[in-house]
Amino acid sequence: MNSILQTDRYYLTTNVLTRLSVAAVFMCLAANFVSDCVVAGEGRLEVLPETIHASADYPARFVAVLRAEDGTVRELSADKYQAHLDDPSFASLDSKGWIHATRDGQTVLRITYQDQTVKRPISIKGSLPEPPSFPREISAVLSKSGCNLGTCHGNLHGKGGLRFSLRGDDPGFDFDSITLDQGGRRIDWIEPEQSLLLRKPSGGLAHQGGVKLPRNSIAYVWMKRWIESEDNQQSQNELTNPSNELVELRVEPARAIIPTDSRKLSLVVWGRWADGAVRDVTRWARYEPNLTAGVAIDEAGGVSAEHPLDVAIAVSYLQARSSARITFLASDQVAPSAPTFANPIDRLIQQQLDQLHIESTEVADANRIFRRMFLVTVGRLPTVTEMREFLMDEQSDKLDFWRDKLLADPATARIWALRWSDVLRNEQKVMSAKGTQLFADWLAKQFAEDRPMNEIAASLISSVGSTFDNPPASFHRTHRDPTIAAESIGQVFLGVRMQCAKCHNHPFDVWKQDDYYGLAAYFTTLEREQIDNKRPDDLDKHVITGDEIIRLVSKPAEIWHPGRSLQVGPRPFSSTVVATAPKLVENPLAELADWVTRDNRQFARNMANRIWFHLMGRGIVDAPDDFRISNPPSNPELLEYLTDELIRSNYSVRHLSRLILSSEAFMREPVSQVADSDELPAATSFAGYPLRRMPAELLLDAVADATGVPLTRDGAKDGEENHRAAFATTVPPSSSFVRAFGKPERLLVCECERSDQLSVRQSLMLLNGDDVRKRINSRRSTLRKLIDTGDSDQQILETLYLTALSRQPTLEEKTAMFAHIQNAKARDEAFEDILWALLNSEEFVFIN
Amino acid sequence: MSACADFQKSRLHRRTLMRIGSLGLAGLGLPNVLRREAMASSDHPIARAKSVIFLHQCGGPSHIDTFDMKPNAPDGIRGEFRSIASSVPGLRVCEHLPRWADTLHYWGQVRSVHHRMKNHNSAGYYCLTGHAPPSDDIRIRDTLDLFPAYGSIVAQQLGPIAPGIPPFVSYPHNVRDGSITPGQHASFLGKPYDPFFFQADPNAKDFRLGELQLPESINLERLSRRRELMNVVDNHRRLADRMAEVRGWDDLQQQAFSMLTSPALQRAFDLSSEPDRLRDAYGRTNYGQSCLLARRLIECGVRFVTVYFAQGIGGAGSEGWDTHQENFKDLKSRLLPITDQTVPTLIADLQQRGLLDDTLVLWMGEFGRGPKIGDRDGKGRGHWPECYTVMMAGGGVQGGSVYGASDHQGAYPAENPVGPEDITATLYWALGIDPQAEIFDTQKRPLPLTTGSPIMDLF
Repeated sequence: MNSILQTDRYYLTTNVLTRLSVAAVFMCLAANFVSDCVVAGEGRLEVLPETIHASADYPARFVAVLRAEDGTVRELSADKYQAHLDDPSFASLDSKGWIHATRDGQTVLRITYQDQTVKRPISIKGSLPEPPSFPREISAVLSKSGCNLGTCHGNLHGKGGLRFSLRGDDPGFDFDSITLDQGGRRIDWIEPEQSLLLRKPSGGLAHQGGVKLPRNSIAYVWMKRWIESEDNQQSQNELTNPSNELVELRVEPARAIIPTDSRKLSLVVWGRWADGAVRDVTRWARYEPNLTAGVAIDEAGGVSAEHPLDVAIAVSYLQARSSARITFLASDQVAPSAPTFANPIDRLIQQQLDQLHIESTEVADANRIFRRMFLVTVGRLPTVTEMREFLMDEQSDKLDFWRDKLLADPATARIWALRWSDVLRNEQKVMSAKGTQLFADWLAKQFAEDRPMNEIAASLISSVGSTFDNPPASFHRTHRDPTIAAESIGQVFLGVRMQCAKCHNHPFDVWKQDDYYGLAAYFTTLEREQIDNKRPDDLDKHVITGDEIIRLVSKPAEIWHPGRSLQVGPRPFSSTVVATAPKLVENPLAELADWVTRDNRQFARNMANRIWFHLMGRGIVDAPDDFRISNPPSNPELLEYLTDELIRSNYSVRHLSRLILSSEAFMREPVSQVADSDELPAATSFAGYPLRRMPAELLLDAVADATGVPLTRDGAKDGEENHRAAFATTVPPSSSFVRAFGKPERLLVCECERSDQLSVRQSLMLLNGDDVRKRINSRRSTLRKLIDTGDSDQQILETLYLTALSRQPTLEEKTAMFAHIQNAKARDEAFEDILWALLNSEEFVFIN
Repeated sequence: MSACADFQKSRLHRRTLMRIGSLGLAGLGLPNVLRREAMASSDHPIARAKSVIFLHQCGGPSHIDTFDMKPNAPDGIRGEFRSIASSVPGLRVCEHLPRWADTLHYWGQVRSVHHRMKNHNSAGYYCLTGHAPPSDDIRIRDTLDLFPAYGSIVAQQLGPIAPGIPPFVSYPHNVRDGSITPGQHASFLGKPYDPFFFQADPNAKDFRLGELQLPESINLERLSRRRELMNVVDNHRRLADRMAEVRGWDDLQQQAFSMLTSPALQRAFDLSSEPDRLRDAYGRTNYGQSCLLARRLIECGVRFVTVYFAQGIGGAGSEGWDTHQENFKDLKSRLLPITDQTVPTLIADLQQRGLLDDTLVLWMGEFGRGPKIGDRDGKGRGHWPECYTVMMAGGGVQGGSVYGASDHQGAYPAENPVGPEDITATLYWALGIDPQAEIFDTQKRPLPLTTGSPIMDLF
């Protein structure tokens, strides 16, 4: 239960938006008793945060916004409203929206705009600045100033001899580094301002990193005060006392949509400690946007955008992580009222498009949808016969007919097996050629039978025995190291990348080393026996040529946790238990499989997202295996709906596929999905079909199909030549066409190992490479047969277009092509040129 | 994973460092810091290399029998070869490198490179990337977790010198020892930064470059007509107008066309246009003609060329430098003659054409050879990563300079020990790339280009 709640936290931040706005309205009513705070024609006046805490060292930020009826939010600059403190003897207000404490007590802040006033209670702790504490103020200074970043002192070698833990992950280490390392020469206890720790970053001595702590900045003063008052015993206590732990970090607003006439928004960040203290840490948090250009965030959480964009901002303070997502709209024009959609997918997408004022693209031509559907299901182009059949069919439900037919086609199951073979690391060195085939066949069989996805996953995790007789046990053949198996559980089955937590707590998320080694411990009671292993190279211990038997042995499940320097036992991640002792579990794999796949919403959500990713070309969480606080789903409601549907259908991949393929979203004209572009919001909100290059194997198969010259496998026997790159179970060498186009080597559990990047070499391979050139020139090609049969120019041209591009040539194209044939020396050469042009066209290379 | 290996190494290290090592380190470290600060105020050297020729000697060339000879060492160490004087007073090299000896004044050498990888693939990866592998695995697997080749980093950081000229070309072997040695491609940087790689022998009569050279049946005119037809098809959907991806693809296609049609690049690959005398001077071998090609590629604007000496580690009768058996016979009859013919010719040729000033030539292997003679057949030398020599010329390197020193047996660094990462940092620094710049792996983790420091004394 715990784990489910915990993994659900990805949604908390995004759902907070809706809850927050509801709560804010309510507060406004409650606080004012008289009005609902609506400023006529402008929207509702709101003030964040709900309760304001200010103290001597932590002035408090508040933000006044107008929330329009459509949910967009516009920040009011300080000159637009009147701010008033009921009792100004407790605190003062500055012109930038900060409240500075003067003495302890309570008062009320009133913000008045036009005829509306919002009240906010303020709690003030102002009289005595506390002596700075190392794990709080000093750690915050090191992080805020960037001292502990990987590029500065926060890396394995440090800089100039000084090392900090990465992003303040380990304050105890940083404390030792400052006070003990190099004989304590960094601190001058007698004359604090002579300390290297202050002189270097303040510009008093040369510092490669430049001036990071200007003299008399708050950070400098804190550092100085800490050195003056440093009491080693007290610091040690603070470093270990649980009441000093930060238990909550909140960013407000966590979600905002900003209309076009506003390009700024201030964030407020506050933290709550275990002892109940609340501090405004807006100034001390670090803000890291997921875009590299177009957005600027100042020191105090002020976000500004140069152009319309959608940004997720990772907010970190001490060891806590949170995030905000802000959309700066491109248009205030609300798209024309959309039709009512039958498919809930389209309703949920339209809901978001309305919010974001994005217009969807048109529905594509039927033959283009037809081609697209073939590519994402059976992984090939429609044949010329299929094309003609489809074009001549006049039934209005012809797409439905083909959709069901394709989803039931064994080739669709083989394409799923290809996708899963990638992330399950099904490669021949460890698996043997026979093993890869058996494992891929097993996977294909599961998808052909539409076996529930949670059962497939449970089989993979818990199967043992002979990998030849019981192929799902291959999971333990390909994941030989418990830590790699744990990473796979995280990344493949739950969509969470945990690799960072192997060596240190995850810098951008909540994963701890405890989670990592807790998972890894499940895989520590396995034994592997190789049957008839005939390594051609005895030194290559990665090679297993024969069968392998996986066995569970009765011994405590445990693994060495390097961070804690102790043996730890298995535990699901995100449990409240910190680390558990090694223990004897009867069947740790069954226990783990049960936890991962039964009633685990994050598992279902990850699977729903992956199915969407493969069919739509982009995850709702993207990359699909990177669920992270700072990488929220682009449409949470849609993802939750798909998750519900997957669970409701008893984890039927076919059901969810049918639902997705029958949505209008699948059938729309393409949209670009290049990172950092203005057009990206259209792709992330699925206003059109995200464009992408054809995957490697599909492209090579398409070349083979379009030329009619099939692929041959190395050493293929006669009659075996109808080989398809997409069905191959082994990975060819790096010089091959498919590897140049990004087929993964299957050595990582990451979806990212398959590259969809473009390169000059790829272009050269299509323009002039053997795989394409020899097929175009081949005497056995379809083109040659058509010529030999005596087909007319018109007939040949149409057939080539239908096979390669799934459409008829346009009039313009016909004119140009016929002219080319007329002027050419030889007719067959002219047609070769045309076929070449088709295979190198954008329309052929991209799924559009 | 590699990042983690680095990190864990340091994590283990740091507690010990705290307890015992830190004062000692301070004693060592302080003069360096001061020196750097002092240097900042004087006129310190400026990075001026524009391109790099990386000559990779697979197998591990013996340092004691080439550039770091120990004439006074005892019999079982000294070896059979005598040393001869070079063009740099006081520096001596092996008698079987007489031509190299005459060009030694162009070379800087680092005689104190050391690491701990005893296997070819793990050590090879280390010296091809400047990053320690996760383990000393004899058949380390080439995964996207591992770091990219130098040339890929350079291509990513600096881009091509001229449009349509590939920034990184490597040939004529894909180095392997049982399995492919990692570090020869772009790894997690991505496909756009992979080298243009070919395995053909430039010395062969039918030397061809696969997809980089048009077949005879397709002349430029036919290619251009084909291209017009393609534009007709692309005009139908006009995807490039709306889709940045497609525009990106069109740019790459444009570059591909330029490569196929560029007289400069196509000519660069045509070695027959070189005078026979020069071709003979380089040596009519795969290595010799490969080095000639390297010069031609640099000349036409390629930024980084890697020439692999051999496909495998070799040993008796094969091509590499792994002289476990017959160390002296192999060096004398095969490895040194090829090297002595080709490398000095390359340097002289670059110099004559005014290319040496901004071309850094790096000559190294994955490790040196053990000082004690007697490996296997009693006449060989074993693997020796503990101390070996790396040679650098051009690109601002001070000719005749020597950095670091080995002990009297050539066994361990006696002075200024450096790791492969410091060679890497030097290489990047020479090109004007900040060695501490960040790159991102498949998990988007920021990683430093290198953890080493440039050896400024060489410049």
